[in-house]
Amino acid sequence: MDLATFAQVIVNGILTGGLYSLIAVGLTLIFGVMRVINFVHGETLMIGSYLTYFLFTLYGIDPFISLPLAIFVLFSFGVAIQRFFINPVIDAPHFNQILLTFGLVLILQNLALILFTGNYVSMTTGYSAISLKLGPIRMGLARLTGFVIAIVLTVLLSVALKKTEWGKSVRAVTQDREAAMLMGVNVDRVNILAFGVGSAMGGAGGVVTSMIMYTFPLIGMLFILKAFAIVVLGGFGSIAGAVVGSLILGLTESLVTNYLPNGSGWAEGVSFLILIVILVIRPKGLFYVE
Amino acid sequence: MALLECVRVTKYFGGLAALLEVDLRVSSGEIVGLIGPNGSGKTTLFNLITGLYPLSRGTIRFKGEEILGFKPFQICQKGIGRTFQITKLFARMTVLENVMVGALYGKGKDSDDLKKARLTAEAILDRVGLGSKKNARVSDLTLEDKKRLELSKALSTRPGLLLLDEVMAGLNPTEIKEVMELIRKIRQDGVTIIVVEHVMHAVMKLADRLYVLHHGEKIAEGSPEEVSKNKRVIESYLGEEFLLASS
Amino acid sequence: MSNKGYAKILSLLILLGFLLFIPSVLSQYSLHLMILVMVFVVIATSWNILVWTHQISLGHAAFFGIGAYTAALMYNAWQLPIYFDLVLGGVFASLGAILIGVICLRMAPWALAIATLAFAEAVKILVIMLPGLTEGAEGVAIAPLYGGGETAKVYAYYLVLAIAFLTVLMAYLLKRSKLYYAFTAIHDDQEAANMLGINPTKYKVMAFTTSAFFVGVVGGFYAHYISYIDPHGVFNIHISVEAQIMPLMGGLYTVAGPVVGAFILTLLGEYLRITVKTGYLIIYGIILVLLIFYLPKGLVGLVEGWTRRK
Repeated sequence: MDLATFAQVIVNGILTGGLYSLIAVGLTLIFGVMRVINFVHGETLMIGSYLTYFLFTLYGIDPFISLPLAIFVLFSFGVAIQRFFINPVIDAPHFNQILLTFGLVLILQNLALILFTGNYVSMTTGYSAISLKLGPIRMGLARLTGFVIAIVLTVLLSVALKKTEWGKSVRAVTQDREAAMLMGVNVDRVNILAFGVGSAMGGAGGVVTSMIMYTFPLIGMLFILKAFAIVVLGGFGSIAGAVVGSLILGLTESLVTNYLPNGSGWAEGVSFLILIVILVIRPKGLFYVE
Repeated sequence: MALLECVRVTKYFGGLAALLEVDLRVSSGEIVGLIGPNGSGKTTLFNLITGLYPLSRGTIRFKGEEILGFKPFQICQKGIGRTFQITKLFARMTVLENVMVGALYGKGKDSDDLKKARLTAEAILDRVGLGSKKNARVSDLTLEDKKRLELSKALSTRPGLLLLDEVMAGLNPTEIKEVMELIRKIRQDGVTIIVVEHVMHAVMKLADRLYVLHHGEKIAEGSPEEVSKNKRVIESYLGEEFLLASS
Repeated sequence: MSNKGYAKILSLLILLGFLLFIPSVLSQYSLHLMILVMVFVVIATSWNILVWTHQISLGHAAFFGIGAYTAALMYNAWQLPIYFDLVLGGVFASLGAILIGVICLRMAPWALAIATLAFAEAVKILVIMLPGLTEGAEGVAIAPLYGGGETAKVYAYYLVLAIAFLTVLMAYLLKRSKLYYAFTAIHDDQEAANMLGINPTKYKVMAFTTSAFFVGVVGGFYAHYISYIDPHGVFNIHISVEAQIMPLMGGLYTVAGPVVGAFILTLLGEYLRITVKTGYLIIYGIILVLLIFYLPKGLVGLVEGWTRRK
């Protein structure tokens, strides 16, 4: 086993993990607060991705600048979805919630299909092709940038959760909704903001993916399943768990891709394997918030 | 031979002892009361007897046979039934259908015969006083009726031992009297009963013997008179609602 | 028997007569559509059975695909008579159900839902990654059913009609049996059911296995009928989605519901696919959202509401 290759594989895995972490963090935030199975979350990534792509190809706007815009747009999107679609079914059986969000997913995916066609599109920015070399390890600049963005946003979110009023309310509601209500927390407002922020994180994830890979209408589905695997692994409601879970998934996929024959095909199955295994042996996840 | 024996029953949740070395015996035909302040472990004991989770230490014997490690549906087959503090009724079924479930699958097993099960269920509902409401939906029932239905469900499996978990909670004095009569009727029908209750005057009048739990330990045992005079019992209830039976 | 009872039986006989008669008047294409309808009648009815025990499967396509691949591979290897293939398809699907059912048994319904989704995707990947066994992504070709051609289609139709009939019959008998009490008890309050002598594991696995079996059988049929299958076609998430929408639209806790839903949505889907082409599934999404908000009891529930008020 070649140490240089191994190091490269690890680095790739970590960078991929960073890519996943944005959407996973958003999902775990939403689930922690609202306990709702939310498939629509994948579409926030899709929207963010297309937004960045079109802003770049049509107007030459650099993804970095699209980022705050995407965050704003997806935040509003999340708030709207929460108020009009999710909130009404928040106390409905999970069955209804799942099917409702599935329905929304179908609508959004096919809207994208109709508007943008099913073609895979990608953008080439000035720095897409640049790789940094650190000893024997290469890192695509785009990937590295995406990773940094993910870290920055996640840190900002964590700080917000610790220091702001809203953040404290979120943590209270995640731990014990009833107790939080009794303490006077405006749970409705917390829900809406959490959904908004979570969706914004997903949107940011979309910005990052558009920098690194291609975009297509069904991209949300691809990532949401991984996000679910990560959130289940890390524990619903735990930001730290989502980050760690993302890294674990990224690393495992990277290792499988490189060291298993036909690895890249099997790598896709890693998330599902993790999902099933964790749901069986430790359904609350590694860092669950009780 | 006692019908039910709990020997040194102990249950830890994490580091906390919910029950510590509790001994309890119930003989056939008795009504035994299990009382104690909130959190003293009464429901936990019921949960252990019915196999909801395993003991940490000790053993439980029913009709001489150890019943550790059995699942609730197996415990039911052996002849133990229970009601739940918060009624667990089947919302999508009518009152009659609720009772038929136990008739079909419980120990009495009118298996494979829906007609027989229906007759059994109707008989139980009549005995319990819900006969006129047999086609009602669960959501249309009053609290007292829900408690009666919960009781009927437990009876539908033809238990030899019935565990009642706060059947009287939330009922007014008239309703409480009615339920007390019902419990006596059930005992007359040959069912042994353990009653967990907070309505003190009721359980004092009903029970042949009492056990008192406090912080998971048995602190007293004996007839209602003996227990009501027990210093430790009185102390443990200080600060709680405490209705002494007036003789 | 009441008038309502007679009316029901009469309408059922008319429906049956209609279904038996139509091959003689339909075009080849329309007959193909009816075959698809029957396939989905089986899938929708089977999926619905799971709901009766409060289990949700988001990956029912897995069982369809397992049945399809089992039948295709077995037939290509050993030229078994078609009925054997179909039953084997059902059996293997059931084994898959037992596997996923047992390991996911202690999960809350939402966890089971996600696990079944993962299971479907995982099986798809397995099939793709083991080309030695399954021809991988290239797919499997099978000799066309009954030799192909026009009369073959008619035979195919009667075969799938029989399968659909048996499935619906199974659901109907189940709903009137003692088992339905166990299922509903588990659905409403599993702990209470347990305390009344019902082993939740036994009955949940039973429901899962039964549900998967019929889907596997019709998957096997589909493989023979369409004479070429590939992983993305038979393990398609759309099959799983339709498996849910159809019973929801028709009425979840009924026997007729999934049948009604299957009829309407298969025909609607085909119509949309042809007219609107891209993105027609958006209509499905809209229907789904509207159903959840306004018609949670489905169409059959709606009709029952009307008749009750009369």
